[in-house]
Amino acid sequence: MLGKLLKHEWKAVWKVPMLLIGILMIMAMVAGFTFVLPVWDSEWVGLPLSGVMLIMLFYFTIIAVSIGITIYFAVRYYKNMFTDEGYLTHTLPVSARQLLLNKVITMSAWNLIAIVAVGLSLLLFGGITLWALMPKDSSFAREVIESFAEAIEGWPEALSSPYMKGFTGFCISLLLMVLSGSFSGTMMIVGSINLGQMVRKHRILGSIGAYFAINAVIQMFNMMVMMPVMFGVENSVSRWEGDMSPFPMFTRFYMIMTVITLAAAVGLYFMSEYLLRRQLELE
Amino acid sequence: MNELVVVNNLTKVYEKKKIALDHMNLIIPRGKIIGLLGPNGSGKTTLIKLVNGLLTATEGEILINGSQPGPESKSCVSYLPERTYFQNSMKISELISFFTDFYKDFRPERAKMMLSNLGIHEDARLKTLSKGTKEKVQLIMVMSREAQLYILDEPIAGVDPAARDYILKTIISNYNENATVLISTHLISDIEKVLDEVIFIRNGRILLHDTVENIRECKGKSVDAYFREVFAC
Repeated sequence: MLGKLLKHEWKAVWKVPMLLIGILMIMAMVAGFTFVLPVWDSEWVGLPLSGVMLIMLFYFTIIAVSIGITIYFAVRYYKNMFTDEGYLTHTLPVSARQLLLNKVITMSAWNLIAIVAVGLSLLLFGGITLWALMPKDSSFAREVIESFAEAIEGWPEALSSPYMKGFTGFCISLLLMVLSGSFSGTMMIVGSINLGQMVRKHRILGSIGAYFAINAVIQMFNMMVMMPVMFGVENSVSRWEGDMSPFPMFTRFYMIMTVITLAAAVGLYFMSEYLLRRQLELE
Repeated sequence: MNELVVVNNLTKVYEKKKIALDHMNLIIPRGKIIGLLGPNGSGKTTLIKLVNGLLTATEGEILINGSQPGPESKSCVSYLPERTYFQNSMKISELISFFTDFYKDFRPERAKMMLSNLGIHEDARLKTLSKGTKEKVQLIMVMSREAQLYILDEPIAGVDPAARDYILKTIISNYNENATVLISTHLISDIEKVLDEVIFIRNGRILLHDTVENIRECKGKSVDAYFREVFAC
Protein backbone atom coordinates (compact mmCIF):
# COMPACT_ATOMS: atom_id res chain seq x y z
CA MET A 1 0.00 0.00 0.00
CA LEU A 2 2.90 2.38 0.69
CA GLY A 3 3.92 2.07 -2.96
CA LYS A 4 0.42 3.07 -4.08
CA LEU A 5 0.35 5.98 -1.66
CA LEU A 6 3.71 7.19 -2.97
CA LYS A 7 2.56 6.85 -6.58
CA HIS A 8 -0.56 8.97 -6.03
CA GLU A 9 1.23 11.46 -3.81
CA TRP A 10 3.99 11.98 -6.37
CA LYS A 11 1.45 12.38 -9.16
CA ALA A 12 -0.47 14.97 -7.14
CA VAL A 13 2.47 17.10 -6.01
CA TRP A 14 5.09 17.29 -8.74
CA LYS A 15 3.61 20.20 -10.70
CA VAL A 16 3.94 23.01 -8.13
CA PRO A 17 7.57 22.39 -7.04
CA MET A 18 8.61 21.76 -10.65
CA LEU A 19 7.03 25.08 -11.64
CA LEU A 20 8.95 26.82 -8.86
CA ILE A 21 12.19 25.12 -9.90
CA GLY A 22 11.47 26.12 -13.51
CA ILE A 23 11.11 29.76 -12.42
CA LEU A 24 14.41 29.45 -10.52
CA MET A 25 16.21 28.16 -13.61
CA ILE A 26 14.74 30.92 -15.77
CA MET A 27 15.88 33.52 -13.22
CA ALA A 28 19.37 31.95 -13.19
CA MET A 29 19.51 32.30 -17.00
CA VAL A 30 18.14 35.85 -16.94
CA ALA A 31 20.67 36.86 -14.29
CA GLY A 32 23.51 35.20 -16.26
CA PHE A 33 22.46 36.81 -19.54
CA THR A 34 22.62 40.30 -18.00
CA PHE A 35 26.38 40.03 -18.67
CA VAL A 36 25.68 39.82 -22.40
CA LEU A 37 23.78 43.11 -22.30
CA PRO A 38 25.72 46.32 -22.85
CA VAL A 39 24.45 47.75 -19.58
CA TRP A 40 27.63 47.44 -17.52
CA ASP A 41 29.61 50.02 -19.50
CA SER A 42 26.80 52.56 -19.56
CA GLU A 43 27.53 55.97 -18.09
CA TRP A 44 24.00 56.22 -16.75
CA VAL A 45 24.01 54.49 -13.36
CA GLY A 46 20.46 53.16 -13.85
CA LEU A 47 21.51 50.56 -16.41
CA PRO A 48 24.25 48.74 -14.46
CA LEU A 49 22.02 49.09 -11.40
CA SER A 50 19.21 47.26 -13.21
CA GLY A 51 21.69 44.47 -14.01
CA VAL A 52 22.63 44.24 -10.35
CA MET A 53 18.93 44.21 -9.48
CA LEU A 54 18.35 41.25 -11.80
CA ILE A 55 21.18 39.31 -10.17
CA MET A 56 19.75 40.21 -6.76
CA LEU A 57 16.36 39.01 -7.97
CA PHE A 58 17.92 35.65 -8.77
CA TYR A 59 19.29 35.53 -5.24
CA PHE A 60 15.85 36.29 -3.78
CA THR A 61 14.27 33.70 -6.09
CA ILE A 62 16.56 31.05 -4.56
CA ILE A 63 15.24 31.97 -1.11
CA ALA A 64 11.62 32.28 -2.31
CA VAL A 65 11.68 28.91 -4.10
CA SER A 66 13.21 27.12 -1.09
CA ILE A 67 10.64 28.64 1.27
CA GLY A 68 7.83 28.23 -1.30
CA ILE A 69 8.42 24.47 -1.64
CA THR A 70 8.53 24.06 2.14
CA ILE A 71 5.29 26.03 2.61
CA TYR A 72 3.56 24.18 -0.23
CA PHE A 73 4.29 20.80 1.37
CA ALA A 74 3.41 22.03 4.88
CA VAL A 75 0.01 23.33 3.69
CA ARG A 76 -0.60 20.14 1.70
CA TYR A 77 0.24 17.97 4.72
CA TYR A 78 -2.12 19.96 6.93
CA LYS A 79 -4.94 19.89 4.37
CA ASN A 80 -4.55 16.20 3.53
CA MET A 81 -4.39 15.08 7.12
CA PHE A 82 -6.49 17.43 9.21
CA THR A 83 -9.10 19.23 7.11
CA ASP A 84 -11.99 17.86 5.01
CA GLU A 85 -9.50 15.98 2.82
CA GLY A 86 -8.52 14.03 5.94
CA TYR A 87 -11.87 12.24 5.71
CA LEU A 88 -10.54 10.46 2.65
CA THR A 89 -6.93 10.13 3.84
CA HIS A 90 -7.86 8.52 7.15
CA THR A 91 -10.51 6.18 5.74
CA LEU A 92 -8.09 4.54 3.30
CA PRO A 93 -7.30 0.95 4.30
CA VAL A 94 -3.74 1.82 5.29
CA SER A 95 -1.98 2.21 8.64
CA ALA A 96 -1.02 5.51 10.25
CA ARG A 97 2.62 4.51 9.72
CA GLN A 98 2.11 4.12 5.96
CA LEU A 99 0.30 7.46 5.75
CA LEU A 100 3.10 9.20 7.61
CA LEU A 101 5.93 7.45 5.75
CA ASN A 102 4.33 8.40 2.45
CA LYS A 103 4.33 12.08 3.38
CA VAL A 104 7.79 12.04 4.98
CA ILE A 105 9.45 10.25 2.05
CA THR A 106 7.84 12.55 -0.53
CA MET A 107 8.63 15.74 1.38
CA SER A 108 12.22 14.69 2.12
CA ALA A 109 12.78 13.76 -1.53
CA TRP A 110 11.49 17.15 -2.67
CA ASN A 111 13.67 18.90 -0.08
CA LEU A 112 16.66 17.14 -1.62
CA ILE A 113 15.52 17.95 -5.17
CA ALA A 114 15.20 21.61 -4.14
CA ILE A 115 18.77 21.62 -2.76
CA VAL A 116 20.10 20.03 -5.96
CA ALA A 117 18.04 22.49 -8.04
CA VAL A 118 19.53 25.47 -6.18
CA GLY A 119 23.02 24.06 -6.81
CA LEU A 120 22.23 23.55 -10.50
CA SER A 121 20.82 27.06 -10.82
CA LEU A 122 24.05 28.48 -9.39
CA LEU A 123 26.07 26.39 -11.86
CA LEU A 124 23.80 27.58 -14.67
CA PHE A 125 24.24 31.19 -13.59
CA GLY A 126 28.03 30.74 -13.34
CA GLY A 127 28.25 28.95 -16.69
CA ILE A 128 26.21 31.55 -18.56
CA THR A 129 28.14 34.37 -16.89
CA LEU A 130 31.43 32.82 -18.00
CA TRP A 131 30.12 32.28 -21.52
CA ALA A 132 28.82 35.86 -21.65
CA LEU A 133 32.09 37.33 -20.43
CA MET A 134 34.27 35.37 -22.85
CA PRO A 135 33.89 37.67 -25.89
CA LYS A 136 34.26 40.78 -23.73
CA ASP A 137 37.27 39.72 -21.68
CA SER A 138 38.65 36.52 -23.11
CA SER A 139 41.73 36.53 -20.89
CA PHE A 140 39.60 36.50 -17.70
CA ALA A 141 37.40 33.68 -18.93
CA ARG A 142 40.43 31.74 -20.15
CA GLU A 143 42.10 32.21 -16.77
CA VAL A 144 39.05 30.83 -14.97
CA ILE A 145 38.86 27.81 -17.26
CA GLU A 146 42.60 27.17 -16.96
CA SER A 147 42.42 27.41 -13.16
CA PHE A 148 39.64 24.80 -13.18
CA ALA A 149 41.69 22.53 -15.42
CA GLU A 150 44.74 22.94 -13.19
CA ALA A 151 42.73 22.24 -10.07
CA ILE A 152 41.34 19.03 -11.56
CA GLU A 153 44.78 17.95 -12.79
CA GLY A 154 46.49 18.63 -9.49
CA TRP A 155 43.70 17.15 -7.42
CA PRO A 156 45.30 13.76 -6.53
CA GLU A 157 48.49 15.50 -5.44
CA ALA A 158 46.61 18.13 -3.44
CA LEU A 159 44.66 15.43 -1.63
CA SER A 160 47.83 13.85 -0.30
CA SER A 161 49.10 17.12 1.17
CA PRO A 162 48.89 17.54 4.99
CA TYR A 163 46.53 20.52 4.86
CA MET A 164 43.97 18.44 2.94
CA LYS A 165 44.03 15.64 5.50
CA GLY A 166 40.53 14.35 6.24
CA PHE A 167 38.98 15.95 3.16
CA THR A 168 37.15 12.77 2.13
CA GLY A 169 35.67 12.44 5.61
CA PHE A 170 34.64 16.08 5.44
CA CYS A 171 32.84 15.50 2.12
CA ILE A 172 31.04 12.47 3.53
CA SER A 173 29.99 14.40 6.65
CA LEU A 174 28.74 17.24 4.46
CA LEU A 175 26.74 14.83 2.32
CA LEU A 176 25.31 13.15 5.40
CA MET A 177 24.35 16.53 6.81
CA VAL A 178 22.50 17.48 3.61
CA LEU A 179 20.72 14.12 3.47
CA SER A 180 19.74 14.13 7.14
CA GLY A 181 18.82 17.81 6.82
CA SER A 182 16.21 16.95 4.19
CA PHE A 183 14.65 14.43 6.57
CA SER A 184 14.96 16.55 9.71
CA GLY A 185 13.58 19.63 7.92
CA THR A 186 10.57 17.56 6.91
CA MET A 187 10.08 16.19 10.41
CA MET A 188 10.23 19.69 11.90
CA ILE A 189 7.23 20.64 9.73
CA VAL A 190 5.34 17.36 10.12
CA GLY A 191 6.02 17.11 13.86
CA SER A 192 4.93 20.73 14.44
CA ILE A 193 1.68 20.27 12.52
CA ASN A 194 0.87 17.04 14.36
CA LEU A 195 1.67 18.59 17.72
CA GLY A 196 -0.37 21.69 16.81
CA GLN A 197 -3.46 19.49 16.44
CA MET A 198 -3.46 19.02 20.20
CA VAL A 199 -4.53 22.67 20.50
CA ARG A 200 -8.00 21.72 19.27
CA LYS A 201 -9.48 25.19 18.89
CA HIS A 202 -6.44 26.87 17.30
CA ARG A 203 -4.75 24.15 15.30
CA ILE A 204 -2.81 26.35 12.85
CA LEU A 205 -1.63 28.69 15.57
CA GLY A 206 -0.71 25.64 17.63
CA SER A 207 1.36 24.26 14.73
CA ILE A 208 3.25 27.54 14.27
CA GLY A 209 3.88 27.75 18.02
CA ALA A 210 5.03 24.13 18.07
CA TYR A 211 7.45 24.82 15.20
CA PHE A 212 9.18 27.63 17.07
CA ALA A 213 9.16 25.68 20.34
CA ILE A 214 10.71 22.56 18.75
CA ASN A 215 13.27 24.73 16.97
CA ALA A 216 14.21 26.48 20.21
CA VAL A 217 14.63 23.16 22.06
CA ILE A 218 16.85 21.73 19.28
CA GLN A 219 18.95 24.91 19.15
CA MET A 220 19.37 24.87 22.90
CA PHE A 221 20.44 21.24 22.85
CA ASN A 222 22.77 21.96 19.94
CA MET A 223 24.38 24.76 21.91
CA MET A 224 24.82 22.60 25.00
CA VAL A 225 26.54 19.86 23.01
CA MET A 226 28.56 22.24 20.86
CA MET A 227 29.95 24.25 23.76
CA PRO A 228 32.65 21.73 24.79
CA VAL A 229 33.47 21.13 21.11
CA MET A 230 33.93 24.87 20.60
CA PHE A 231 36.38 25.00 23.50
CA GLY A 232 38.28 22.15 21.88
CA VAL A 233 38.39 24.09 18.61
CA GLU A 234 39.67 27.17 20.37
CA ASN A 235 42.53 25.13 21.85
CA SER A 236 43.35 23.67 18.43
CA VAL A 237 43.38 27.13 16.85
CA SER A 238 45.75 28.43 19.51
CA ARG A 239 48.11 25.55 18.66
CA TRP A 240 47.60 26.07 14.91
CA GLU A 241 50.43 25.21 12.56
CA GLY A 242 50.59 26.03 8.88
CA ASP A 243 50.42 22.48 7.60
CA MET A 244 47.43 21.46 9.74
CA SER A 245 44.22 20.51 7.95
CA PRO A 246 41.01 22.26 9.03
CA PHE A 247 38.81 19.46 7.65
CA PRO A 248 38.78 17.06 10.63
CA MET A 249 37.48 19.92 12.79
CA PHE A 250 34.65 20.70 10.36
CA THR A 251 33.90 17.00 10.01
CA ARG A 252 33.48 16.73 13.78
CA PHE A 253 31.19 19.80 13.75
CA TYR A 254 29.01 18.48 10.96
CA MET A 255 28.80 14.98 12.38
CA ILE A 256 27.66 16.28 15.77
CA MET A 257 25.05 18.52 14.15
CA THR A 258 23.89 15.63 11.97
CA VAL A 259 23.51 13.30 14.93
CA ILE A 260 21.57 15.88 16.95
CA THR A 261 19.15 16.85 14.17
CA LEU A 262 18.73 13.22 13.13
CA ALA A 263 17.93 12.18 16.70
CA ALA A 264 15.40 15.02 16.99
CA ALA A 265 13.86 14.04 13.64
CA VAL A 266 13.53 10.39 14.64
CA GLY A 267 11.93 11.48 17.93
CA LEU A 268 9.51 13.72 16.04
CA TYR A 269 8.68 10.87 13.67
CA PHE A 270 7.66 8.51 16.47
CA MET A 271 5.73 11.26 18.23
CA SER A 272 3.88 12.01 14.98
CA GLU A 273 3.05 8.36 14.42
CA TYR A 274 1.74 8.06 17.97
CA LEU A 275 -0.41 11.20 17.60
CA LEU A 276 -1.87 10.00 14.30
CA ARG A 277 -2.63 6.56 15.69
CA ARG A 278 -3.86 7.43 19.16
CA GLN A 279 -4.87 11.08 19.22
CA LEU A 280 -6.52 11.73 15.85
CA GLU A 281 -9.46 14.13 16.15
CA LEU A 282 -10.84 15.36 12.84
CA GLU A 283 -13.13 18.36 13.10
CA MET B 1 -22.19 -14.17 13.23
CA ASN B 2 -24.94 -11.72 12.36
CA GLU B 3 -23.35 -8.78 14.19
CA LEU B 4 -21.46 -6.45 11.87
CA VAL B 5 -20.69 -3.66 14.34
CA VAL B 6 -20.53 -4.06 18.10
CA VAL B 7 -20.27 -0.95 20.26
CA ASN B 8 -19.34 -1.60 23.90
CA ASN B 9 -19.63 1.05 26.59
CA LEU B 10 -18.49 3.72 24.13
CA THR B 11 -17.86 7.17 25.56
CA LYS B 12 -16.55 10.28 23.86
CA VAL B 13 -15.82 13.40 25.84
CA TYR B 14 -14.69 16.48 23.94
CA GLU B 15 -12.83 19.44 25.36
CA LYS B 16 -14.48 21.31 28.20
CA LYS B 17 -16.03 18.03 29.39
CA LYS B 18 -18.70 18.02 26.67
CA ILE B 19 -20.04 14.46 26.60
CA ALA B 20 -20.92 13.48 23.03
CA LEU B 21 -21.41 9.74 23.64
CA ASP B 22 -22.26 8.40 27.05
CA HIS B 23 -21.45 4.72 27.66
CA MET B 24 -23.22 3.65 24.50
CA ASN B 25 -23.92 0.00 23.72
CA LEU B 26 -25.15 -0.97 20.28
CA ILE B 27 -25.19 -3.90 17.89
CA ILE B 28 -25.60 -3.29 14.16
CA PRO B 29 -26.65 -6.44 12.28
CA ARG B 30 -25.85 -7.43 8.70
CA GLY B 31 -28.17 -7.04 5.76
CA LYS B 32 -30.24 -4.06 6.93
CA ILE B 33 -30.83 -0.46 6.00
CA ILE B 34 -30.77 1.42 9.27
CA GLY B 35 -31.62 5.03 9.98
CA LEU B 36 -29.50 6.76 12.61
CA LEU B 37 -31.81 9.49 13.81
CA GLY B 38 -31.56 12.20 16.40
CA PRO B 39 -31.63 15.97 16.84
CA ASN B 40 -28.58 18.18 16.26
CA GLY B 41 -25.79 17.48 18.72
CA SER B 42 -27.22 14.11 19.75
CA GLY B 43 -23.98 12.27 18.89
CA LYS B 44 -24.78 10.77 15.46
CA THR B 45 -21.74 12.17 13.65
CA THR B 46 -19.47 11.46 16.62
CA LEU B 47 -20.53 7.79 16.55
CA ILE B 48 -19.97 7.63 12.79
CA LYS B 49 -16.54 9.25 13.07
CA LEU B 50 -15.53 6.83 15.80
CA VAL B 51 -16.60 3.84 13.69
CA ASN B 52 -14.45 5.24 10.87
CA GLY B 53 -11.44 5.84 13.10
CA LEU B 54 -11.53 9.62 12.62
CA LEU B 55 -11.83 10.25 16.36
CA THR B 56 -10.32 8.56 19.37
CA ALA B 57 -12.74 7.13 21.96
CA THR B 58 -12.40 8.30 25.53
CA GLU B 59 -13.62 4.93 26.81
CA GLY B 60 -15.07 1.70 25.46
CA GLU B 61 -14.56 -0.06 22.15
CA ILE B 62 -15.95 -0.56 18.68
CA LEU B 63 -15.58 -3.79 16.74
CA ILE B 64 -16.32 -3.88 13.03
CA ASN B 65 -16.36 -7.39 11.67
CA GLY B 66 -14.50 -8.35 14.83
CA SER B 67 -11.69 -5.82 14.51
CA GLN B 68 -11.15 -2.36 15.93
CA PRO B 69 -11.16 0.62 13.54
CA GLY B 70 -7.99 0.30 11.45
CA PRO B 71 -6.83 -0.73 7.98
CA GLU B 72 -8.79 -3.99 8.15
CA SER B 73 -12.11 -2.38 9.11
CA LYS B 74 -11.58 0.47 6.64
CA SER B 75 -11.30 -2.01 3.80
CA CYS B 76 -14.88 -3.15 4.41
CA VAL B 77 -16.52 0.17 5.38
CA SER B 78 -17.58 2.65 2.71
CA TYR B 79 -18.13 6.06 4.25
CA LEU B 80 -19.79 9.17 2.90
CA PRO B 81 -19.11 12.16 5.18
CA GLU B 82 -21.46 15.11 5.44
CA ARG B 83 -18.94 17.35 3.66
CA THR B 84 -17.10 17.53 0.34
CA TYR B 85 -13.89 15.70 1.04
CA PHE B 86 -12.19 15.00 -2.28
CA GLN B 87 -9.32 17.18 -3.48
CA ASN B 88 -10.80 19.85 -5.71
CA SER B 89 -7.90 19.71 -8.15
CA MET B 90 -8.59 16.06 -9.01
CA LYS B 91 -10.33 14.86 -12.13
CA ILE B 92 -13.13 12.31 -11.72
CA SER B 93 -11.09 9.82 -13.77
CA GLU B 94 -8.20 10.27 -11.31
CA LEU B 95 -10.59 9.62 -8.44
CA ILE B 96 -11.70 6.39 -10.08
CA SER B 97 -8.11 5.25 -10.49
CA PHE B 98 -7.41 6.27 -6.85
CA PHE B 99 -10.36 4.24 -5.53
CA THR B 100 -9.48 1.29 -7.79
CA ASP B 101 -5.95 1.24 -6.37
CA PHE B 102 -6.91 1.42 -2.71
CA TYR B 103 -10.22 -0.42 -2.40
CA LYS B 104 -10.27 -4.00 -3.62
CA ASP B 105 -14.07 -3.92 -3.57
CA PHE B 106 -14.36 -0.84 -5.78
CA ARG B 107 -16.11 -1.46 -9.12
CA PRO B 108 -14.97 1.19 -11.62
CA GLU B 109 -17.39 0.04 -14.32
CA ARG B 110 -20.30 0.62 -11.92
CA ALA B 111 -19.03 4.12 -11.10
CA LYS B 112 -18.59 4.94 -14.79
CA MET B 113 -22.10 3.74 -15.58
CA MET B 114 -23.65 5.85 -12.83
CA LEU B 115 -21.62 8.90 -13.88
CA SER B 116 -22.75 8.43 -17.46
CA ASN B 117 -26.39 8.08 -16.35
CA LEU B 118 -26.12 11.45 -14.67
CA GLY B 119 -24.28 13.04 -17.58
CA ILE B 120 -21.15 13.75 -15.51
CA HIS B 121 -17.95 13.66 -17.58
CA GLU B 122 -15.05 11.67 -16.21
CA ASP B 123 -12.61 14.30 -17.47
CA ALA B 124 -14.21 17.03 -15.38
CA ARG B 125 -12.23 18.41 -12.49
CA LEU B 126 -14.10 18.52 -9.18
CA LYS B 127 -13.51 22.26 -8.80
CA THR B 128 -15.55 22.87 -11.95
CA LEU B 129 -18.61 21.06 -10.57
CA SER B 130 -21.48 22.50 -8.54
CA LYS B 131 -21.85 21.51 -4.88
CA GLY B 132 -24.79 19.23 -5.71
CA THR B 133 -22.88 17.47 -8.51
CA LYS B 134 -19.85 17.02 -6.24
CA GLU B 135 -22.11 15.36 -3.68
CA LYS B 136 -23.48 13.06 -6.36
CA VAL B 137 -19.94 12.14 -7.43
CA GLN B 138 -19.06 11.38 -3.81
CA LEU B 139 -22.11 9.17 -3.41
CA ILE B 140 -21.35 7.36 -6.66
CA MET B 141 -17.78 6.64 -5.52
CA VAL B 142 -18.95 5.39 -2.13
CA MET B 143 -21.77 3.25 -3.53
CA SER B 144 -19.55 1.77 -6.24
CA ARG B 145 -17.81 -0.29 -3.62
CA GLU B 146 -19.02 -3.74 -2.63
CA ALA B 147 -18.54 -2.93 1.03
CA GLN B 148 -19.98 -4.75 4.02
CA LEU B 149 -20.99 -1.55 5.75
CA TYR B 150 -22.01 1.72 4.08
CA ILE B 151 -22.13 4.71 6.38
CA LEU B 152 -23.88 7.69 4.86
CA ASP B 153 -23.87 10.88 6.90
CA GLU B 154 -26.61 13.24 5.69
CA PRO B 155 -26.52 11.95 2.09
CA ILE B 156 -29.61 13.87 0.97
CA ALA B 157 -29.33 17.06 3.00
CA GLY B 158 -28.01 19.45 0.39
CA VAL B 159 -29.71 18.25 -2.79
CA ASP B 160 -32.98 18.92 -4.58
CA PRO B 161 -35.94 16.48 -4.30
CA ALA B 162 -35.27 14.94 -7.74
CA ALA B 163 -31.67 14.25 -6.78
CA ARG B 164 -32.87 12.81 -3.46
CA ASP B 165 -34.90 10.21 -5.35
CA TYR B 166 -31.88 9.37 -7.47
CA ILE B 167 -29.67 9.03 -4.40
CA LEU B 168 -32.13 6.75 -2.62
CA LYS B 169 -32.51 4.68 -5.76
CA THR B 170 -28.71 4.45 -6.00
CA ILE B 171 -28.43 3.31 -2.40
CA ILE B 172 -31.08 0.63 -2.73
CA SER B 173 -29.92 -0.70 -6.07
CA ASN B 174 -26.20 -0.81 -5.23
CA TYR B 175 -25.89 -2.44 -1.85
CA ASN B 176 -25.75 -6.19 -1.64
CA GLU B 177 -28.12 -8.21 0.52
CA ASN B 178 -25.50 -9.09 3.12
CA ALA B 179 -24.30 -5.52 3.56
CA THR B 180 -25.70 -2.97 5.96
CA VAL B 181 -26.41 0.65 5.18
CA LEU B 182 -26.37 3.09 8.08
CA ILE B 183 -27.93 6.43 7.12
CA SER B 184 -27.80 9.44 9.37
CA THR B 185 -30.31 12.15 8.47
CA HIS B 186 -32.87 14.66 9.61
CA LEU B 187 -35.05 14.15 6.55
CA ILE B 188 -36.84 11.10 7.89
CA SER B 189 -39.93 11.23 5.70
CA ASP B 190 -37.77 11.04 2.57
CA ILE B 191 -35.92 7.90 3.62
CA GLU B 192 -38.49 6.18 5.80
CA LYS B 193 -39.73 4.01 2.94
CA VAL B 194 -36.30 2.39 2.47
CA LEU B 195 -35.45 1.75 6.14
CA ASP B 196 -35.60 -1.63 7.88
CA GLU B 197 -34.60 -0.37 11.32
CA VAL B 198 -34.10 2.91 13.13
CA ILE B 199 -31.85 4.01 15.95
CA PHE B 200 -32.89 7.08 17.93
CA ILE B 201 -30.06 8.89 19.71
CA ARG B 202 -30.35 11.62 22.31
CA ASN B 203 -27.55 13.15 24.39
CA GLY B 204 -25.13 10.45 23.34
CA ARG B 205 -27.35 7.57 24.44
CA ILE B 206 -29.47 5.11 22.49
CA LEU B 207 -33.09 5.94 23.07
CA LEU B 208 -34.56 3.32 20.79
CA HIS B 209 -33.37 0.63 18.37
CA ASP B 210 -36.28 -1.09 16.67
CA THR B 211 -37.61 -2.17 13.29
CA VAL B 212 -39.69 0.25 11.28
CA GLU B 213 -42.44 -2.35 11.12
CA ASN B 214 -42.60 -2.61 14.91
CA ILE B 215 -42.80 1.15 15.33
CA ARG B 216 -45.64 1.37 12.85
CA GLU B 217 -47.50 -1.53 14.47
CA CYS B 218 -46.95 -0.69 18.13
CA LYS B 219 -47.11 3.10 17.95
CA GLY B 220 -49.61 3.28 15.12
CA LYS B 221 -47.67 6.03 13.36
CA SER B 222 -44.88 6.60 10.91
CA VAL B 223 -41.27 6.84 12.03
CA ASP B 224 -41.31 10.52 11.08
CA ALA B 225 -44.35 11.20 13.27
CA TYR B 226 -42.94 9.15 16.13
CA PHE B 227 -39.61 10.96 15.88
CA ARG B 228 -41.40 14.32 16.12
CA GLU B 229 -43.27 13.08 19.20
CA VAL B 230 -40.18 11.74 20.96
CA PHE B 231 -37.98 14.72 20.19
CA ALA B 232 -40.62 17.43 20.56
CA CYS B 233 -39.10 20.63 21.91
